[in-house]
Amino acid sequence: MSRHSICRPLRVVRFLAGLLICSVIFTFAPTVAQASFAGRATAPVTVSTYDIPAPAGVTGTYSCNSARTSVTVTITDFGAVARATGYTVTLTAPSGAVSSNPLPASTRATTITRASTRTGTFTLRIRATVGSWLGDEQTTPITC
Amino acid sequence: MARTARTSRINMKSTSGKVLASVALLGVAASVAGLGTYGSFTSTTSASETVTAGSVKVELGAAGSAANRLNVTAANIVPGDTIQRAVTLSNTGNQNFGGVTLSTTATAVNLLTTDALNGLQVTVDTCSVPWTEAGTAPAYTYTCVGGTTTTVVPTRQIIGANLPLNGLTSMTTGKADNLRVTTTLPVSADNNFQNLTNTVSFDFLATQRAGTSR
Repeated sequence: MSRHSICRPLRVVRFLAGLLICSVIFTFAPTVAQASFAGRATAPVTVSTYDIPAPAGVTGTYSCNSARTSVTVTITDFGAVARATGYTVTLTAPSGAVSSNPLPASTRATTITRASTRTGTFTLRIRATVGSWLGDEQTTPITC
Repeated sequence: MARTARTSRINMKSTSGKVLASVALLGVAASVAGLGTYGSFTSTTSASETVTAGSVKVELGAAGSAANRLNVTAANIVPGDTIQRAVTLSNTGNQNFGGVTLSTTATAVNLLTTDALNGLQVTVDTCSVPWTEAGTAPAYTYTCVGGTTTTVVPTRQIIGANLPLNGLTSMTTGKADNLRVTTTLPVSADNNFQNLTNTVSFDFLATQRAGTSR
């Protein structure tokens, strides 16, 4: 009785080990059978998209009305941005109201006016566009 | 004074008995086999057969040369831009190919490669004669002057796995194909595509021809 109680678990372990080995063989044997010769060659292609810079070197003048609630900015030139298809000049009033002048790529001069319901700092912004892409802004505060 | 006689009997049911019986059987078998060996006529002959494995090897032109411009970086591209790069794919092994596939993987995860519609698109063409290169790095362009252009990968998103390259000349050992890889950024790519960089690995895999009787 005691002999049976010792040997039986050993037989079970042996059986399971055999089953495991058979499973591994039947799993990987087909893979080995399908092996074939192959060669490989690899090359990288690196692509980066444009980061549209802000226009630099803005020149011009501005004038305010006597109540300091309106400003007119005359831009005479700014640096061209490579590949720009146009520019957008905006003037934002202290009240938040905005005037906008779109320019073609060939034009870098314009006059823009914005009135406000209160005094404070106006903000002039110029940015280039490339198709549907918007560039970084060149920002200039104007205080009357 | 009487001595007690000790007798030991080999019991075949015991372990030692079984071991002894096994040793005895092996001894008898070895002896008979040895005698048999000495008692027979023998004759031997030999022959040798040399088997050499073939090689399947695909190679691209030297990186940076006119035979492989793939590694020339394209920078500052915008929607609508096209990037053309030529590369020569050669069968430098001693076996014909059974097939050649192209798999492409990206090193970064961004819209350039994850957006199947608005991200980078690729086309692969072959020219029956070497491509005529124009332009200066990195803005190369290629035309098939005096040859025939065949599209082997129609325009599709740049990332793909196991794309078959059919009709290649390099299926035959010692031959080469003049490939032109054209990458485009669609005009539909919006402002979110600005200032992105990605590197796409072009992996050409050639597999052996089918086995034959040799």
